Amino acid sequence: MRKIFFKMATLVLGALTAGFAARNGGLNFHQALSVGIFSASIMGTLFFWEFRLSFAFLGSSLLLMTKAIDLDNFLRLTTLEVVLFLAGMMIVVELLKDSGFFAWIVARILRVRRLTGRKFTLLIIVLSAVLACVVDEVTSIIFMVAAILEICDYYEVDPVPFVIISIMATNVGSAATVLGNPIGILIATKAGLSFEDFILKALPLAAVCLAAVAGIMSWWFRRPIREMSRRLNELQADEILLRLITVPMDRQLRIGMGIFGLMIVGIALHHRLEILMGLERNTLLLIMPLITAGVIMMWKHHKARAYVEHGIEWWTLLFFMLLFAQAGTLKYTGATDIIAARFLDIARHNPHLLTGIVLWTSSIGSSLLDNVIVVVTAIPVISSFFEFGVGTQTLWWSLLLGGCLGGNITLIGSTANIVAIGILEKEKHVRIRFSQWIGVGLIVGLSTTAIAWALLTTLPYYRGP
Amino acid sequence: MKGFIAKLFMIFVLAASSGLLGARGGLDRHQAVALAIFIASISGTLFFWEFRLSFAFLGTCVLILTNTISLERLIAHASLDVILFLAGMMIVVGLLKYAGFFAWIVELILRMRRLTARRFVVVISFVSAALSATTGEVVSIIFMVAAVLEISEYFEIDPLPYILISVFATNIGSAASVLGNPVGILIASKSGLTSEDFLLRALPLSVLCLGVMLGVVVLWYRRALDVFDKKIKELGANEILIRLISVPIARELKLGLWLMGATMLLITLSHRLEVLLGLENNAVLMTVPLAMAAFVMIWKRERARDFVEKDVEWWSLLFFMMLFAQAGALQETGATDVFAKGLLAWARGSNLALMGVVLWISSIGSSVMDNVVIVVAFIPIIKSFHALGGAMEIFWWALLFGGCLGGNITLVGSTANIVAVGVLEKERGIRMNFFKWLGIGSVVGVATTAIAWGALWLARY
Repeated sequence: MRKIFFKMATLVLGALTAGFAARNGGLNFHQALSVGIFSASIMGTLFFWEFRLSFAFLGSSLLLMTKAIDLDNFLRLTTLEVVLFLAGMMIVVELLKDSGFFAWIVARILRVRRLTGRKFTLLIIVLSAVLACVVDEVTSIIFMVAAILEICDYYEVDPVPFVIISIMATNVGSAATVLGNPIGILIATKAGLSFEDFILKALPLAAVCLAAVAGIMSWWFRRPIREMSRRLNELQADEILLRLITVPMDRQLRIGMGIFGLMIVGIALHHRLEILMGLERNTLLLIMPLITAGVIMMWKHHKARAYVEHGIEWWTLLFFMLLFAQAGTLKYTGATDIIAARFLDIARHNPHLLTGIVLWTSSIGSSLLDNVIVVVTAIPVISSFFEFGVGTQTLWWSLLLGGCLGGNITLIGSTANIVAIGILEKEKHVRIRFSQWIGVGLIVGLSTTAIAWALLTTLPYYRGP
Repeated sequence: MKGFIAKLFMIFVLAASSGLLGARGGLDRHQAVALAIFIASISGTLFFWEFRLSFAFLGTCVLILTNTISLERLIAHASLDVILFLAGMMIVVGLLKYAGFFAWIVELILRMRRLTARRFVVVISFVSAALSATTGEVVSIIFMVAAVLEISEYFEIDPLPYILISVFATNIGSAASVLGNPVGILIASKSGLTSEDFLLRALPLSVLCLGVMLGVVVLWYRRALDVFDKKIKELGANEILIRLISVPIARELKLGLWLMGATMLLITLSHRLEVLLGLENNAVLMTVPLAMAAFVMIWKRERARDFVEKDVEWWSLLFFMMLFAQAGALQETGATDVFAKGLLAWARGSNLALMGVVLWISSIGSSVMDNVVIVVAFIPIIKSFHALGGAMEIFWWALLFGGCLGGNITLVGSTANIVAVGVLEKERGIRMNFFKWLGIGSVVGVATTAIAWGALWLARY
């Protein structure tokens, strides 16, 4: 109880300091207030993770009560369309889970002939990244960890290195498409980027980073990988395991995959279809999961309610909604314009430097905070850059990559890390220590961010408007 | 499977024909599409109750795909403020449930002094109405049914009349405040009526209706009541029950009650606070539940996640959101202006006749479908009445009362009915007969609607 009061006091103090600092830094009352409340919300998530929603609720009420923003604009800034997109995707993923898609895909790829430790590592990396970018990182990591634990159990090797490998690949892979990470769709909506843009620009970057991850991993974990090869040799053919993990393809799964495939095709073509149908930008992208969810609920109607109530992470979505609105208030009051102007003073209108600043701050920031928080804060600042005429698309890619790659640096850098570690603890009673992670995490996080930085600033492909 | 396809086909035919009819009747393409989609969604909820959300999703997407409305406008019409208000209140009520508030109320009823059948009826009516006006009809009915079942089991009487009375009172009581029913807050947010207005106008009217209802049921069930009285004489009232149950009011509950009291006080005073703070209409009203829910979650932090995930009815809220958006599309395309003009012409410009039309249509309408659906469809139409000038308030009250009172007419008229029937079936294996309900239901529903009509009519002069 004492600790809670102490934390509360720190929170209030921190928020007040942020507010007053902002006030002294040339922001007006409402701007300073929105800065103070926003920092209180962020600190609330840091200190009181298990009931962070309370702080989001209270902060939002305060913003409205103090007239920092009016109700209509506040509601508009909740970006309900992104929230509904995520809700729709969660229903779709719930169906896939339900029909055994993940078990099937993991089993399918692990039935590779003549497995070696190195091959196994590579498979994990590619599979984690692909799953993360077509489904989402959290779902993907849950199934990958389950598969890795099963296989490592069978061969009696330590699963921890392979779980870490899978997490790293998941975080990198989640940057590749709009679907991989909530920040993907958020950036796409706010920046007006299409799925195609992501495939053309973000996917190559993620692929290069993934290759770097593969290199680093096979060096860093060379001993566990060699051990794995040895065990694989000893036990020779993996016939028994094969039989163990064979998942037959049934009708349910086939239909489920068909629906999912159609949705992916629809999303991939969304930009062209929008032009064809005369719809506004990204309309189709945002409603595609809703259409799919509608069809799914009709097909599996006896489970529709369960999908909505248990499949959708309402707790998280409600938090996102209010977080989006609070960050939007920063923009609405004009606070971020001033902050953006400060950044421009530092960067002296050098676009490369600006790219670097965005990339590195978002990378380091999301190693400590939820990457959604970092991105949500940065978005209004970057939109202000556009208003000042120095915005480029590169800034959005920097933000995306920074937000995803930074997640690898620490143990708590992204949701995927937290989830995977949670499973490991629950199932195997293995605790990954902070020190065990930070070495490899720092190397992977920093080197991939550096690679992204180099590519984004040197390649002419990424310049342009 | 065959039934399924037939139903789907029927929805399609209904939607297409209403669209075509609309187009004939002077709607343009977008208006007709919006109308057809709305009809499809409504009939979807009628035919496929258990997955109505699916139709709401698909319908909304069709609206966007046909360029009837842009995503941005559609989202603006989703009335997220109402949704957040409801979610916040559900969290607060979740706390009350958790703290044992409802169990405490049930015990108080069971320990009633000097029990007679008629006293019992009056008490359960008023408690049901008060609970439903403060915590929402669904939660209220669940606990009232539990209380009635317990009493009837003790005295070995047929629980059905008392369940029905409790349901009627619940539906009537839900019209008394902004908290009672989703349509209440919806109307408040769209009409600019404050919670004080509800207290001054809706509450008295709802008490009046409650009185009428009591008169009707006491007459209708006089024989059942006499049987109950005889049983009470035989068994010597509820002395044993009183001795059996002790009601210690826990500290948790006390705090919970204070919190609920503060919520209601703030909601009642919300308009004054808005004026005082210089805020726009409803800014305080909408944020009070959020702030209170935040306190609930800080207080019961280990259960915070459960409050959000289990006590908030996300399924219904998501459905409401889509429904609001679709009705918004009807308004945005101007289809509702056309209807409003039609209604105006029909009522020959008389406000009172128009009020009657609104009241009776919403009453009859909500006897066959969810009252939220009816109210949502009517709101933009009533907004289009502003061409009339003058007092709009009366239409809003007509809509509110029609929507709540009509729910009594049939078995499926409101969520409270469905819940009560469900509990009865599950707990006692009693299947409610549709026509049995319709008999007393239509008498109560029509009588109370008529009283509301008369009262609104008189208030006009």
